[in-house]
Amino acid sequence: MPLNIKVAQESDEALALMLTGSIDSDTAPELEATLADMVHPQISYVGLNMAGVTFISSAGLRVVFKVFKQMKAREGQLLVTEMSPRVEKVFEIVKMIPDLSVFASHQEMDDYLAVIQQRESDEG
Amino acid sequence: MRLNVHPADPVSYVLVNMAGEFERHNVGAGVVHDCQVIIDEIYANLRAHVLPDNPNLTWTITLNPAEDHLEMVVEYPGPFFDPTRPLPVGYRHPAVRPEGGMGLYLMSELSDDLKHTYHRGVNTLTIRKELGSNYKEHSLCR
Repeated sequence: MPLNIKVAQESDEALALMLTGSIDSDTAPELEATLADMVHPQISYVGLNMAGVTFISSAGLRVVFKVFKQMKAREGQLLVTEMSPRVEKVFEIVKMIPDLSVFASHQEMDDYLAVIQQRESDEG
Repeated sequence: MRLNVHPADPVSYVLVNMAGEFERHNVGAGVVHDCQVIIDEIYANLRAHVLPDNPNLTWTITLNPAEDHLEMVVEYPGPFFDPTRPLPVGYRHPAVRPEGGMGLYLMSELSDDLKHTYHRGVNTLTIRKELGSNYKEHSLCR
């Protein structure tokens, strides 16, 4: 059960990734390395589309929580969308759901990120 | 069903094999996911705490299906190591607790019973998972 990571959207301030597969103790380090590589200091909004995530364990939760803390420290946000009920249950057990900005659909997250991008270009 | 796991085996080897066995017994997807999380947490624990001192360790996982529950038995030889201890008294949010413990908490929350025994150099971890509403068909006892 590999983990596939695709960039769905990238701007100066925002990054959205499309995740597919399993975020287990073997694949979580890949996600952590990708985020470490792509979340440069200007990024303050990270979106994770989890529609294709079939599995997550504490190794994956730790990576998600790490990026959440990073975004919070930058007064940004971690956005999560389209979690399956099974994946959401794991987040609920460790009480992380209230911290996350959970979007119902990728479109909703895209729209929000588009607003961020618009703000960037207006300010830039 | 009994699966031997060697140190070089990726966790996906265990998860995929167990998934096939769960499917063969018509176990619901929710229970399968819960059991797979437990298995991942156990493997991660063994890698962190047991394999460094015993890099050639082969451990086994056995699935014993019953009418209304599943039993998974994990056995690993070597010194006493109980991955169920210390169970957190009360789970604290990751922001306010020290590193570690999240996997252990997940294991305890997702299983209906979790028991470790040690006998003559073999650690045995027995996990019971009720099938509940996720139990699709009565095909476990044949």
